[in-house]
Amino acid sequence: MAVVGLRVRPTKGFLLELKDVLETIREGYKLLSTKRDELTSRLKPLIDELAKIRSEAMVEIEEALCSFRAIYGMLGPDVVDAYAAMNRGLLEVHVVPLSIMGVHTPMLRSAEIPSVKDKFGPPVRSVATKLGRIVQSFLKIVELESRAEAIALDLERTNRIVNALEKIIIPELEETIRYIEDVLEEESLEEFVRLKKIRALLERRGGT
Amino acid sequence: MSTYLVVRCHARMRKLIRPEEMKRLLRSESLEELVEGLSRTEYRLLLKDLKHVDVDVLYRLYTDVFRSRLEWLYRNSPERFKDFLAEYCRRFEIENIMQVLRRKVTGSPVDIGRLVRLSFLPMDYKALSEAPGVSECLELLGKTPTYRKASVESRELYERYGTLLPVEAVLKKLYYTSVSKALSLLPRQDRKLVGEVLAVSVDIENCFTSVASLLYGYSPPLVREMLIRGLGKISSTVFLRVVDASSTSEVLELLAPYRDVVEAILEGREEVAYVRSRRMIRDLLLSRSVERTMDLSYALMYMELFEDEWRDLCFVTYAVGYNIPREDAVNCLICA
Repeated sequence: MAVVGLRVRPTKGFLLELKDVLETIREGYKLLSTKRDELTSRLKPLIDELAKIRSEAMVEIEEALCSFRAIYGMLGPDVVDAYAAMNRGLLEVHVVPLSIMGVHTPMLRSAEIPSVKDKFGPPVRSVATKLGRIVQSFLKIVELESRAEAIALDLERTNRIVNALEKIIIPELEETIRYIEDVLEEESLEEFVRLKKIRALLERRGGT
Repeated sequence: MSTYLVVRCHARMRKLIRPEEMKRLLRSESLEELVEGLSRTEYRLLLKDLKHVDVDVLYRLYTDVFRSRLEWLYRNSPERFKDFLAEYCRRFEIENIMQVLRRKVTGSPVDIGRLVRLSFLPMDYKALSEAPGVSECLELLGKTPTYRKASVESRELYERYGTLLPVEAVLKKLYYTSVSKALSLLPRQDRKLVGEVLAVSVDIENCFTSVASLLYGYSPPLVREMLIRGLGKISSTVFLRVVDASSTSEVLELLAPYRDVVEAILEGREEVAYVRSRRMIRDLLLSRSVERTMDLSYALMYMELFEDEWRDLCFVTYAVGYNIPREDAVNCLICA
């Protein structure tokens, strides 16, 4: 009889030690299942928000794409390329970690999107503005998606641990404890019988 | 001499692609089908020489035809009309300059082969494209007498605002001012119509410019600077009020004569507004064509129509080549 990685010694000391371990594992199990529930409760609204922002972004993208296609067809790739070549600046994103139940998720502190203001004339400025707005939506989506992904990954890991504790480790430990208790009880019964027999033998000797 | 030109324009007008045919071309499923459709038009002779068909090849073909038509018109015009035509066509030169300048902002390479270069408007685009930056390019432009003053003003504005928008506005102002001056070169009976076309064009430019603060948050001093004053039908004080307007209903009220165009701008559909503005000028010219059949303005109308044909054909080719949904695309045809 052995719990994974543990050589079972059917002794009283080992039994007490195992009971302590089981108690700690039960505490851990309780904590982890609370974490699991909390992560699930955090993940659900996050996914709902992500779905909402995504559908809003899809409408924006559809609209911008429609305008862009028309402008592209009207002005041709060369003119559109020349306009695109005009936009200077880099997209700068500042990300800080946000801890949710010990899970480190990214949080967008600020984003500097190259401005299209005062740069483009008609008819490209409306598309340029729409595309600028899409970049903002993309950043929000990326932030929420990476947060959801980090939470989901941790949730998966936590769930695996909770399940392993619940289905394998705790039952095995309980079984081992039961086994040791049985062995100890058997041993004490044996001892009792032995003592009784010795007592009877001594009584018999004293009588003769 | 002008009678010869006008009669030839009448003959050539019949060869332009009709709106129904253009719509049919737009419905083509592939570039091959489009070329087949084009083979029923005046373009058939040029299509024969094509070794292969792609969007770029067709764009160059249409642009060559457009350029040769403009040059034909110039060659066959009376001397005074030639000078006017050169000024009238300067907008293509300005568009070319802007193309070069836009690429100069980030130093991306310029393909001058794709510009609409006209033999009667010589400009050293190679030198412009080789300039290291916007300021140097504008300085180089200043060596051309036409752009001397505009170059100085443009450089100053570019330094002040750090954007090409005021530069574009200066060049456009130069264009409209010089065409307005060149109106005196036209026979008296043509001046009114051409002057009206120019005034409408200026108004439309100002419509696009003046709403930029309200719609896109552009800086009001810059927008005010960009307005073309004193050449349109609508007074510049109206456009100044539009710059300071706080609601779209106020804009619509102020720019009521251009409601169709302004509505599309306010809805953020600038491509539709652009098409509507071209249609507006086209309709204005067509509505007067009956009474001007033997005037020089008829030649100008022919020019506007073949420009629309060029723009529509380019659009149709891009729509077919890049699979733009046809139900949306039909709204972007100028001739529709």
